[in-house]
Amino acid sequence: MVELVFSPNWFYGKDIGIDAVSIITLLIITAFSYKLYKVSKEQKSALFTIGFLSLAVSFTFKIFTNFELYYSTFETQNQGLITFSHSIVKASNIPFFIGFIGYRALTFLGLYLLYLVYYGDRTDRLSIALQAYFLFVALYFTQFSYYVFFMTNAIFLALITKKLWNNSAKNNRSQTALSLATSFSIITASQILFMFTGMFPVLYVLGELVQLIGSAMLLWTLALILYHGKKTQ
Amino acid sequence: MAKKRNKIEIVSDMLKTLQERGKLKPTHLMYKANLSHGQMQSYLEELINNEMVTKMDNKGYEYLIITDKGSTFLQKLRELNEFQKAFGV
Repeated sequence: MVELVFSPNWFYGKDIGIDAVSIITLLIITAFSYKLYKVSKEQKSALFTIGFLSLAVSFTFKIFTNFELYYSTFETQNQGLITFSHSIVKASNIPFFIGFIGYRALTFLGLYLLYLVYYGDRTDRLSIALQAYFLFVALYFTQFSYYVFFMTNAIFLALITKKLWNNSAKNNRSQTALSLATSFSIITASQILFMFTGMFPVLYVLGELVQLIGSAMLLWTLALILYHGKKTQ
Repeated sequence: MAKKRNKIEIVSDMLKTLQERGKLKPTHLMYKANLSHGQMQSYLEELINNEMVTKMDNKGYEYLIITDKGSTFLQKLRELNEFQKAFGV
């Protein structure tokens, strides 16, 4: 049986809007990274581009899955016929499962690629293979325990955020580096909140709102990057 | 010890120098942008091939000038440099 985290009824659809903001932010970062790759041709930039693209696509899968869930629920309420509503849910099982696995697998892939950008220098190929294996194991267990997914995300994000804070210190706490490290810290916090939604469903709402703040701050950081890029002309 | 510049930083420095000076002889660009002869040759060739820098003749001397395309590219490079610095990649 797949363990799911449901949004409270009154929050239906709002989380889709929040995730859409995350997708836009991630796609802008992907575009920046791709431009960087086109100029530098560095492997790091390529990993960065694919990493952020994976995360953007993973959120698309999440939206698709949520749509599927909410649609099924609404149909059940509207028809009021148990047998009929049951067949709707069953018919949507395969697309739901693809969305569910796609979201989680691509999130792991994206975060792992970003992790490799920051920690790849000190990782040999054997370790990468071993880490990928454990990631597959974690992906398998996310089906039964949703918190494994958010815990894995939080660990990766915390490690990436640590590097961003180090980078911020290296750049004398420049406005952009500081803003970026803060936004990643906020996004990490959202994953920690999601870990406990099973106990307190309201934390799902709080987690989504914190994620929205993190995404908005990331957008603000990108605006700062453009501003500072122009200012130095 | 000074940090080794990456490709984006080197190309930015070359275009920035040309933008600030208006026109420069190749050897002067090499000194002003702090390049070795080999770096200068390879990067300049790429910039000329991509029509970001052009050569002009003035009283028998060869000068380099930045094109509009080069100025636009320099702007993009500054943004990318800022992006790279913020993300630390």
